[in-house]
Amino acid sequence: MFRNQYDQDILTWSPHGRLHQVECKFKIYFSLSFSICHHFVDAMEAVKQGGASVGCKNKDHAVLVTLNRSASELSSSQRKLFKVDDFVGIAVSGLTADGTALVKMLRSENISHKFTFGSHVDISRLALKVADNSQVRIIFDFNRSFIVYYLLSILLLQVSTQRAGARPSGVGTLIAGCDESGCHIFQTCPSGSIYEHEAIAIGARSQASKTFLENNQIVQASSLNELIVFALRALSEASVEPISELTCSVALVGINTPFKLLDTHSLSRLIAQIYQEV
Amino acid sequence: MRQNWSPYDNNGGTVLAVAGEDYVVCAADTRMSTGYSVLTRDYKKIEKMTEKCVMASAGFMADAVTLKKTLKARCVSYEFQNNKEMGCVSFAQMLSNTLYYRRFFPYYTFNIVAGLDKEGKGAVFTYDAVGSYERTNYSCQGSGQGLIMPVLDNQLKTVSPLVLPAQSSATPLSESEAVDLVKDCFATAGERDIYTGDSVEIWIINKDGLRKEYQDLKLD
Repeated sequence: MFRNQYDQDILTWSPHGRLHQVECKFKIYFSLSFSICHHFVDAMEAVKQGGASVGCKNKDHAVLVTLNRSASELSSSQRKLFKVDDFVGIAVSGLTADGTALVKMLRSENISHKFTFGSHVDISRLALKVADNSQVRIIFDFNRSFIVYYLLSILLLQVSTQRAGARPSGVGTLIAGCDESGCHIFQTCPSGSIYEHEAIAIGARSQASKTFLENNQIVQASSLNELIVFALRALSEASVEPISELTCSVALVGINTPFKLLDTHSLSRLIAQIYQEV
Repeated sequence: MRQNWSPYDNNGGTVLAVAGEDYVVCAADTRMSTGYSVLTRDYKKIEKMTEKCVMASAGFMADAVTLKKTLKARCVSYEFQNNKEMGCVSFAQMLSNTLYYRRFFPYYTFNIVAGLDKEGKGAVFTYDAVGSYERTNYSCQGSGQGLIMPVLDNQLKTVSPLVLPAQSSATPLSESEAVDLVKDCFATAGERDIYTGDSVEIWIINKDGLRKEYQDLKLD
């Protein structure tokens, strides 16, 4: 009920300790001769509405699986799994365009770090970089001068939905990586928080996956195959229809296994395993 | 009584490469010197850039190391952006551009790029310090160049590619013959060039991948 007072700009906190522009839907209608509806999708909501991603790990492997949406039956589905480094991969949920930009940033940070220090970036540091990236965007906001911005944009007949620092990124990520200290899975939010998990699901209907993960904890000594099947089972909980190799992707990384995206052939065999055992 | 500080130093060494129909051999000695002293006897002058492409440098090693580092990072970036590994010919062009970028404060390196092109044929590219390059069948750079190049010309020089009927310009030698020739060349250079010696590292790339051989040279 306080929303309208506290959602005028991104720098304002509500009395409930929330940043409404980060969390809530926010629409501005600017009616002139051209009526432009400027739609700031709420950032956290964007993640909750994005396609599901699940991450889980055992003693020496970490697996990321994602449910990919496609615009229509004839279209290819969005890519949500990316390699960042030889032993680090990332799954995104939410505005995947933001995800791609984030991955680009992480990759170049990683290359730069390797160039300067001769070693790969720690996975926790990568998660921190994502968080820092979100923080900078939230703090350096120029919405205070949005009247001027709108006038300019109307004049230019172009409304950009994104300027550096003007809105939070609408993507939550799962970063999975393996180093000398073992396998790790980190989750990041548009707010800039980082969480480390044994197993986690984000995105649409992820609660069903999370319940599955909690009720059926993976054994640490399980094999890689069992781990992938486990992750796929969790993902199928978040899916309305049965999953298939066309609608989901799997990536794995291990202590001695570089990051790898599974091809559709191996994937279909694994998926068949889930539905067989059921 | 003028003090003369130079940003460059010559660490000596010789590198060479020979391309065949379906293989390429790239070799470098492992001696690093400064002035009349030896700094180390097992310095690696060849580095792998991609699965099918290696780069060898003679000259100033500080520049060579940085150059290789920069190019390697660019290769990783290329792979992310284009979803495929950088090809040998593209890498050769990139090295040329990188060198010319520093036209007025050059990398003091004499480079050779060796690899398999996308048809699987051996490719050797030879450079000067500022990026002028050429694809050839064989090449030699570094302190032993003057001693080895005439030997390679004698053994490997083929007919001009402009002559008709068209003949394959690749070296007719087999892989093992090429490796033996390379070992002989280094032994030759090692006799008279003080900056070449200690041992030779030989990298062979063919369709089965990359393998390395080592040959000892005189330590004097």
